[in-house]
Amino acid sequence: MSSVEHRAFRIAQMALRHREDALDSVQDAMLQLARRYAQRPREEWPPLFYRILQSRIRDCQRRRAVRNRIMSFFGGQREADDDPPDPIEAAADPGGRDPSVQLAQGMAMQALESALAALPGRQREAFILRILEGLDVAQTAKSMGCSEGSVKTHLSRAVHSLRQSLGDHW
Amino acid sequence: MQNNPETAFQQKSRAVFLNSLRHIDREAIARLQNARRLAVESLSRPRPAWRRHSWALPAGATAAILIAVATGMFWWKLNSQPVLPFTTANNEDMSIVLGNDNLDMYADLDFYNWLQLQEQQKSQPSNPGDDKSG
Repeated sequence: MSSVEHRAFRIAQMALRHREDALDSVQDAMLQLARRYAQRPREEWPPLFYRILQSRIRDCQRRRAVRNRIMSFFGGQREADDDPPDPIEAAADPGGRDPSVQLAQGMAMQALESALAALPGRQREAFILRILEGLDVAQTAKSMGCSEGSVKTHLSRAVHSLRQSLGDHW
Repeated sequence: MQNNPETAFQQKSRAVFLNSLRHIDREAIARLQNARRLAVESLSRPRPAWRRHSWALPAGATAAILIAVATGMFWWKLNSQPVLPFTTANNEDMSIVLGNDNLDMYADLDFYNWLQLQEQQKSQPSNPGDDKSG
């Protein structure tokens, strides 16, 4: 689980674009996995964990949509989706890596996040689980609750769309 | 394989993603570790009985509702008035019930029968042989 938690947090953060909500979602998913599926074989944990996490992310998005609708109905201000700038993120790298490389990596990640946000939900899910998280096709299918053929289709479309939107220079 | 542009794109995406993990702040890492510790601790804690048998509560509630409905129906059947099936043989009864006649008259029907009998006896001429013997 320790190897998964950082990647899970980043995946949740990419989907929710909110640090606290992402942390809460990962924590809930961990607890649910431990309570419900601890008896299952260890190799089944990653797809089960990501299935729970995706469900938590969707719940959070639904709650946020309802809240925004209510706020807009009463004429209130919409909550800002993005976190305030993180001072730690802006601090100098103690490892002494090249700032220009870091900047390029950071910009590449931002571009990838924006392109992912524009994808349909299932394509985004397939790309994140299969490519970013590194699950195999069977695990991704189990996590998404669909067939392996569907995973391949969603992934192929996602890669095609992302390459188009990011361009060859990315 | 490396030459395949799709594979190269996927590898770059993963590399960029993994690189972004280095920028997770310490507080978030601490919270994630704490969440993992809580999850592991919850494994060693025995779950309360009502959580172990989480199906028992809805099943019990459903059974209680079914028993209540069945008891209610049984009670209602016991206390309800018997209803005679409507047949052509009941037509006379229905005409009495639906008619405008005074129903008290039907209650005193025996009395009126006796009264009629008395009047008939009075109207018959008396037997002369009886007078002689008396």
